[in-house]
Amino acid sequence: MTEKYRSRVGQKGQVVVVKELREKHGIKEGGIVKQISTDKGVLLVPVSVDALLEELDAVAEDVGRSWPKDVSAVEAVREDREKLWRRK
Amino acid sequence: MAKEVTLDSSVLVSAFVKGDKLRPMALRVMEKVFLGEYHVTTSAIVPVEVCGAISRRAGVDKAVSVKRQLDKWEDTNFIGYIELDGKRRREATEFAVKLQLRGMDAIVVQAAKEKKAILVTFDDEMAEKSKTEVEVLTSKDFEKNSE
Repeated sequence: MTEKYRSRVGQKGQVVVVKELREKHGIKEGGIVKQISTDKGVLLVPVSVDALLEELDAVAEDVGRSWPKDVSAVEAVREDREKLWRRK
Repeated sequence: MAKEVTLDSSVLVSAFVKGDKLRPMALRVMEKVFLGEYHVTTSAIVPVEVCGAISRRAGVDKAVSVKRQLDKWEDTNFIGYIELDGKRRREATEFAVKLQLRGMDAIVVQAAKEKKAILVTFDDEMAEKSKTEVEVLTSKDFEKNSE
């Protein structure tokens, strides 16, 4: 690992990742990076949209297994909202 | 530039239930959120409602995973929440009266109106009643050939 760039840390901890490294590692405006604490410092790892969708999929897979087959999401929300206001 | 949107609970619950018939459309919504095309602000009551709906139907441990995911999305600014204060409650009440909406529907519509955001809901009845107050997108707008 060779040191090539240094950045000053801003007021709220902001650090600019230089253009060359952003391009090399696919770090884009609006994108997400994981911050991983290591022995040498903080490692930034870009998170892809596919990875975010996979993460959501893993949760949904688990929920879907226990969710009643005859109830859609829309019906569930509607039913809860109607019950909520009937109780008042 | 990202579009301002308000997500209804129906979209989030659909995204979290594999096998839900509208889930492919919910995933297209979430993809836009993750790509930064949509900037989401919704009522603080929405995650409460989503987790409650999942807990009652799929169990506590599933709802805990969903809550964890929603918290992550909040921490990474994918979703922002607005609290229901007195001013918002009064405005939501006016929508409930004027548009004959269910209470929670009116609270979500108020959030969209305040943020000048597009309301994304998969509840067609809510969409129909709300369209005079806010721009609305439904599941049909996220069907594969609709863009």
